[in-house]
Amino acid sequence: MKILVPIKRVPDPYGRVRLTPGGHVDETDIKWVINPFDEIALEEAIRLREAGHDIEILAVAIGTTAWEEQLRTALAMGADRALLIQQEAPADPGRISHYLAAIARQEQPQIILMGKQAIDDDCNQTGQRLAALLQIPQATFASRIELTPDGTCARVTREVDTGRETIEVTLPAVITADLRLNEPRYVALPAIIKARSKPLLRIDAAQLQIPPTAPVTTLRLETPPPRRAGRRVGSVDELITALREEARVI
Amino acid sequence: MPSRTLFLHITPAGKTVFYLLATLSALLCLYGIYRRWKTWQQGRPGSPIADWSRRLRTAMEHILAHRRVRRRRFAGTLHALIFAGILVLFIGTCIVAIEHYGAWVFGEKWLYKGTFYLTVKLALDLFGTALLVGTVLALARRFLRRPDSLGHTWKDGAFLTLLLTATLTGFLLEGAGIAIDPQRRSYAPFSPVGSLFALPLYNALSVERYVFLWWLHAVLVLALIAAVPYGRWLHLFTIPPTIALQPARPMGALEPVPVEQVEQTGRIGLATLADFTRWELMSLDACMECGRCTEACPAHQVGKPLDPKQVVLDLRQLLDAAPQSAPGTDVISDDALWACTNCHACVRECPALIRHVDIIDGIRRYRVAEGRLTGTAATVLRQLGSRENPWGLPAAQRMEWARGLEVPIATPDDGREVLLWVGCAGAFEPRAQQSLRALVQLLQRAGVHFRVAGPAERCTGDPARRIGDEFLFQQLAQANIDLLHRLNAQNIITQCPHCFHTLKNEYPQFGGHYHVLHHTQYLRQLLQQGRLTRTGTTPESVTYHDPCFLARVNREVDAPRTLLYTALEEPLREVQPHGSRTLCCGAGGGRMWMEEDRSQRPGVHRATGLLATGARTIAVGCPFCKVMIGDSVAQVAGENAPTVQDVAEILLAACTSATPLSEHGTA
Repeated sequence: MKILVPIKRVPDPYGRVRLTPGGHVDETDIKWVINPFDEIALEEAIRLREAGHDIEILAVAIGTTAWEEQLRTALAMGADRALLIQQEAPADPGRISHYLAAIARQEQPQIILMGKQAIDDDCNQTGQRLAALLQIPQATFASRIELTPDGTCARVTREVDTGRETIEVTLPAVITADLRLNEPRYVALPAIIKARSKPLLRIDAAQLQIPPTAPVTTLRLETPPPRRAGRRVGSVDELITALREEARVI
Repeated sequence: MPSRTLFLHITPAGKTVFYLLATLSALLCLYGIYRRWKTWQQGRPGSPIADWSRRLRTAMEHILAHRRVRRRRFAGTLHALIFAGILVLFIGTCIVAIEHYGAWVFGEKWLYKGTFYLTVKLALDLFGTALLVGTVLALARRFLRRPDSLGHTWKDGAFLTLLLTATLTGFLLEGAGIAIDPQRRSYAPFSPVGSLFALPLYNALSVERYVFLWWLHAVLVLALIAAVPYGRWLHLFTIPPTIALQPARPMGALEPVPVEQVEQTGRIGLATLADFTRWELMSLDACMECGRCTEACPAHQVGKPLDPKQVVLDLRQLLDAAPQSAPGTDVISDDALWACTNCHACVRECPALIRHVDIIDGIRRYRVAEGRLTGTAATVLRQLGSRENPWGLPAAQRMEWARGLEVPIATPDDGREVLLWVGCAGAFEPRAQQSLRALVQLLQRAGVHFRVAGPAERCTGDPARRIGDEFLFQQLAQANIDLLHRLNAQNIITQCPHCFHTLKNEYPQFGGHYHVLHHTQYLRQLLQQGRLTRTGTTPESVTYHDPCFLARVNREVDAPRTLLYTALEEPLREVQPHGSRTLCCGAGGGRMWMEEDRSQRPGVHRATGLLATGARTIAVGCPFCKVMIGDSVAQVAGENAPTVQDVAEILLAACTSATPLSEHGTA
């Protein structure tokens, strides 16, 4: 079985993102990491393999050569090989899903296991779009994944608004990972050193010949307004009044 | 001239048989040692050994003076009796052998005669008695008290019985010699115990019976010699070299690994026996299974699956398994491995100087590199990697603790006398901030020109190193060493014993050499120099919880007590155990950031002991202890919980008290 895990490079969630005076993300102090949801997806693929399934894990990223750093981390975590689709401009979910669909048609994975969203733009679109493009089932927001013994289906518990829902999807399918699926393993330097010998292939995005998509343009970036200081209330009644009349939340 | 005939009444044929048996016994003994020595060769060579005179002194302290062994009164005493008995009897036998073989050159009775003979005789008699008493006590301990931690197999009882019968027959033979040899009878007073054994034999002894006794004793002793390397008594041969050849690193300083080595070999940490040093493998065989480590282990005491003695024994089993067997250290379960708080209680108690914590952290290194760490500990390492502190807070907030206080940030040539190393707890943890603010006020009262590194300071790397990410530690250490170099820092004081230990004992591995003091040591200096004086005393009843990394690992138990004696009106209420035997709060070894079952918190166990002192204030000297002990006493005692304060806070109260001393009287 082959599992394809798309990897996105995002700013470290523990770091602070600042904007330059020109309104772009100030990259000087940013440490880049694998999108945490993608990391959870990759961890799950590795755990399925560790549970005894015969699985090959392919990590795919779409970006500049700088993204190789995250692919190397993915290899250190346990991916078997990595693929970088080189392109300069940051792509939107529409284009990303077309690139991934093109790779999926070449590689024929049984499962595309990916983060439900990226923590930078929080789009939450790529998985759904990809399933539509490939005309295969999707199971989004997975908090538990089980493969049937014959490997033809996956039983996925999903985190939905009303609680949890368990569905069975026929493979191949797209599964997107939610936060509670697992706690990813920590990657230390020796693992990255050891993974240097694993194959990392670069291909030019132009080679994939994806159809034109509606362009998404970023108009402006701005930092959220600073949080106002809280207020200490004297009693529960006062709190209820404040919540009801000032905040209007109850 | 007093002397005695060797091989009295033994025929030449008998002598030949004896020599054959003695050779067999010696060969069995040597083979037993060789068999173990060969298994140690699976390891890698350690660092070169230097400084022999200091090593010899330490070895003598531990072997002859029983520095660690005597930490247990009963077991220590019986061990000293057996040890001294066997040592002196061995020397006595050597003297007899020298006399015997020297006779070929110098003629009969050239050495073992006269006053020398009588002195040796008396010594052998007395030390033989010591051996006898020690063996009886050991048997009594094993069969009457039967401590669980000791472990009991049939071999243990059998060996002690063999030792007892060999010693008893020795005395019987001595008595028989006195009874049958009129020449020796006149020197009987020099064998006070042996001559007691002679009393019933005076009229009942034939030459045949004497010869029988001689053979009985000979066979028992030879059997004993042959048996030594085939059980826990192997420690006779393994502990002395383990002590003499121990790594030069101070306790608690882990072995550095260069990144180039990992690039070349692709290996880090302890996965198989090949990753251990030969010394470490020998140290596994030095374990005599006394179980003191396990008894002292705070994780074990709260029912966690960590058992330091079992760790050693499980790894020792690997020595006998097929070499290069797949990751051998996997015999140590994850639950046991991650339960260790690195408190070093096992290491401090071990009479063989086994370094359990180095082994546990070595296995952690391997497992972390293999991607086998998840959960909150992994999160802490990620935060350490990105924010350079375990709280994951921005460096810009590092000075918020000092709000309202005048705390100068260091510049390279400000010429200030000491650098106060704030530490991440001091910077971000509210309770640690309180301690730090008290310390700063004391420094200001004493007129100390101190400075802090401010937002440029980062974690010393202690949690990273002890959780098992050596290179994250080295990266942080290097950055801090560069910073301290830029700031021209030589004298450093720390609030945190973990920062203290890492700066003092581990940064020298990377070229960072500083004069580092824990704040209690520095405050004691200020008191002694008269720069700080008390203006009153605290009437509270106080007990003190020693931090592991201060009291045990770095042997500082006096400084905080001196401060408390100064500050308190009534005597300190000591908790059991305290000092170098202190019981861990549960925060070390990265445990501060790991999930903990409510029923298995070492801190709660410790809190129970601290509450039993009845003290209304628990003094601490470590920000992590402050958090752990604070939470634990609250969990156990609820609203009634005593306050937990740093020693500095208590001292500050005594130094700022407006009440004149005379009203309280001097404590």
